This record gives sequence, structure tokens and C-alpha cells, in this order.
Amino acid sequence: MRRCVIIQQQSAWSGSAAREAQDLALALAATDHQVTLLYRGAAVTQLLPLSTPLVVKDFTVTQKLFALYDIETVAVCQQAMADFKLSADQLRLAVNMLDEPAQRKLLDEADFVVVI
Amino acid sequence: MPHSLGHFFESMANFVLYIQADCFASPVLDEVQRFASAAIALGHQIDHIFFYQQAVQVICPDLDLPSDEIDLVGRFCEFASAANIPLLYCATAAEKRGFTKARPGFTLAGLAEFGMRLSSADKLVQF
Repeated sequence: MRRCVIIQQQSAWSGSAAREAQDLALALAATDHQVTLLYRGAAVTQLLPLSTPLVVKDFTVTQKLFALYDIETVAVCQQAMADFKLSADQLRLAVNMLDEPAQRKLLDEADFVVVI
Repeated sequence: MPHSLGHFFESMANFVLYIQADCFASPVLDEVQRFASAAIALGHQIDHIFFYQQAVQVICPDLDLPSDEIDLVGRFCEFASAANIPLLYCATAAEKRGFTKARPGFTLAGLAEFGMRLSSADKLVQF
């Protein structure tokens, strides 16, 4: 078991990056790693309920399975939330809001970090 | 690079190299090869190299390069074979991009296999 942090940086509409980052997080959690998903930048919008459907398969519904897969923590960047004028209660999941020092601590304590 | 790697990892480490960058006409594979060579020269081990996202195009067997371009993939495969480093790629990411056949030297794997192999890794380096 390793402490893994997957950093999501892209919105759900920016190619396949967001979906493949999510798939990687689920696979690492399924193989008994302690996974934290950190949403930064435009990636925080992945956690919003969709007002219009994605043209491609909506992978964001799988966020409901994060708890089932034992994904340890879902965290969002406090600055990104402010940039997009979002509050935690607008998101589909309960999240940890992390400022820059808290994100640095998270990364310092991780065994592996993947940025997508 | 050998000097700086030696400074950071004083004891032998087991590395996994994770590639997601577009490898076509970019120096990524050369960077990976130089990193792996330096690590091995210092006594470290490369457990495997995993290709994900757009990097899976590296497996395409039908590349037809102009004669004045360097075959980075071919050179990279020869290096990995000589160093006995498994080259794994995500089957799902490849199939979604239309790559159903792989160039010799690359082995189909899943994200779950990548996850399981990470359990024995000390360091994960992303390119």
C-alpha cells in the first residue's frame, strides 16, 4: 500500500485527461493504495452537477463510486474554487478544501504523485 | 544527471517510470532513456515503464518515418530490451485511440497491473 495523490487539472471538457485520471485513481484504489484525488484549476468543475449532458459518455457519474472504492480523500484547491466562484455545497461530493500549505503537506506526505 | 540522481537517492531504489506525454516527434523517449540509463548506472533498478494517455501511440507498429528522422521508438525499444526493462502500455487507452496492434517489445497491461506493480516500487517518475 502506497499513499498516492492524483492531481486533476483539466475540466471534463478538455479531451480525455480528466476521465483517464479518474480511471487511474479508481484502479490504484482497487489495488489497495491509499488514494487522494486533488482537483486543481479548471478540474474543480468536474465535481459540479452537469446542467447539460456531455456529448461523450458521462464519466463524472462514477464519482459516486469513490467511497465504494475506498478513495481516501477528495480534495479541492481553495484558490481554484475561489477563481471559479464555487462553494463546497455546490459540488456533488463532500470535499476537503485545501489551501496552498495544506496541498504542499499532502504532496510531501505522498509516496507517489501523478499530475494529469 | 548521474551525479544529481546519486545525491537524491543514496541507497538502491526501485523505479517505475510513468509516461503520459505525447512521444511523437518529441524528445520524451530520449529523456526517459537518459534517465533510466543514469539510474541503472548508479545501481538503481527500473521495475518497468508504463505508457498511458497519449503516450500509448508509441506502440503503433505502422510508423513510416522519413529517412532523415531518428527512429526514437526503435532506439528506445533496443535500449529497454538490452536493459531488461518491461515496456507496458494501458490496453484501454490504446484501444480507444485505435491502436489494436503493438510493436514488438511492448506488453499489454491494465491500470490494475500498474497499480499492483506500484506496491513494490520506491519511486514513481512521471514524464
